[in-house]
Amino acid sequence: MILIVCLDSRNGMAFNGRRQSRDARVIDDILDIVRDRPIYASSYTKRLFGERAEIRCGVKFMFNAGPGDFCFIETKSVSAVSDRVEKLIIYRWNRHYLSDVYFDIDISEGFVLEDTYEFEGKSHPAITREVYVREKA
Amino acid sequence: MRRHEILRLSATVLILTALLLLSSCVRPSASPKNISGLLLASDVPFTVELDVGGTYRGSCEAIPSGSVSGEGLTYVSLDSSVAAVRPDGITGDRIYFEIEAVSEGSTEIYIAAENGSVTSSHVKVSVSGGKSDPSGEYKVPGPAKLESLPEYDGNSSVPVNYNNPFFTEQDITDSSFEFYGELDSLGRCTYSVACIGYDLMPTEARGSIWEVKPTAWRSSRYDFIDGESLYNRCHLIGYQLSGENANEKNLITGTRYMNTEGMNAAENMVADYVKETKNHVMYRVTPFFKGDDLLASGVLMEAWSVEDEGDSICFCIYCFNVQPGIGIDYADGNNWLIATDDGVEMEYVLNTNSKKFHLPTCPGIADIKEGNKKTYTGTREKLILGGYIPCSTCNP
Repeated sequence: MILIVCLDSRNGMAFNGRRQSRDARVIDDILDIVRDRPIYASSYTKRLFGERAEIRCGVKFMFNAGPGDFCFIETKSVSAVSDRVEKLIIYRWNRHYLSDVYFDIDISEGFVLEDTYEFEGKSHPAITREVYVREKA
Repeated sequence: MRRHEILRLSATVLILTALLLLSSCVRPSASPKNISGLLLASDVPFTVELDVGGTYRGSCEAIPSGSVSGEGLTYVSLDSSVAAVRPDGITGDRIYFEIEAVSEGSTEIYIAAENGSVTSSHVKVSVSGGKSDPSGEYKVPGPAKLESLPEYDGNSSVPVNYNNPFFTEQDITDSSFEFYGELDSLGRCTYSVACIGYDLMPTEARGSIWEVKPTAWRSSRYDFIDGESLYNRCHLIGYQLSGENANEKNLITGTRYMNTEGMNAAENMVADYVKETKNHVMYRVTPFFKGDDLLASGVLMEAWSVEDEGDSICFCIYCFNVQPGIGIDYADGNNWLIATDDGVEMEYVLNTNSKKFHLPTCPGIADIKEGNKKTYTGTREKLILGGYIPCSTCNP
């Protein structure tokens, strides 16, 4: 699974069942990365993409994503799928928001930072995209 | 009588007629208010009466024919009772504008055109309750009420009413406005409420607010607090949302902790959403004071995204006006250090963005941007009290 998440400056993901923030440039960037491949995500996340991507929803969407599949998680704990994550794409808002769901994978163990890219968002001055890959044993 | 004197007399009669029309249409009653009349030339003033603290939305329409354009139109107030007259969008041949009144009495406003952008010499001006509420029935919501205040449990904020704001259906509008409640008899802020829209957001950097001294204001400094100052002048409705700067009705004395950990975090979510979507968010911030305390115990922050009916923004939180490690007398803001550490001072490297602190030897320091990096010498406990968390790699 290639896991995609968006995090604030305290590793927060969501508050009150809603994403902390959004940015059209992040959506564009995700679409550039996935090309025409499907994204496993919630119906809440599907509304961000409209008809621009094939979003595979379902109650267990994060468990249905197989090896090599993209899975975008916005409002749920990700620790349940941590063992299945081959690659991790983190978009950092570089801002602080309210949080009650936090990113709960310890990337300091088992992951290596492969790439960092900073870009200007539509409503964020600087968004950082980090790509981590599973460390080879 | 010469021809130009006849014309002048005719113009005077027309102006008086217009003013009579205005005086018959304008009544100083509860918001919103309707204002209408005839503008005989682009530089003839209107005399209207405005309620104190009221915000009025209106439109400018060319009659009987002709066109108007937002480009080059200027709105000039001749009286300090009007704080702002702002253009607020164009639809067809109608230009919307907003008038904000800050003191009682009548005032004169020129609605003038530059470069001939109003091609009709007759312009009708009317003000109603808002673009979405032409009937003028909208009433600005009052402050939020709480039966009891939450107890501080170590978190900067807690959800109230299961994170559901207390707005009623009648409170909701999709027209931008901002309203700042009057100070109470002790000079304390009461509340601020707004429908945050992209048109309210500032287009320039915030100016100075140091001249405003909210109740309980005092300078208190501790070296372990970010920026060292215990107290900030906290905007109830943040500058990034409404562009409201040094308004004493919108500024309270708040701890750095409440300002950055609670209020600013909530504001950021609203600001991002409005910038991104150009949608509106109903937003209200109500400070709560116990008895005659001059320092607020905390603030209730409510937000609800209008166009998607709360699908994107929906919260109702109470932010505590506390600072970890500091004792506070809420009667007047007096404060003192609560010493809990072992007094051992060390050098640490701080990431002021992620709020993590590191040992100087930590490899993670290389990844900290220079603008976010700060060297600190002091105790570990004070850093934690200041909201910093230890790095999980070097475990300082």
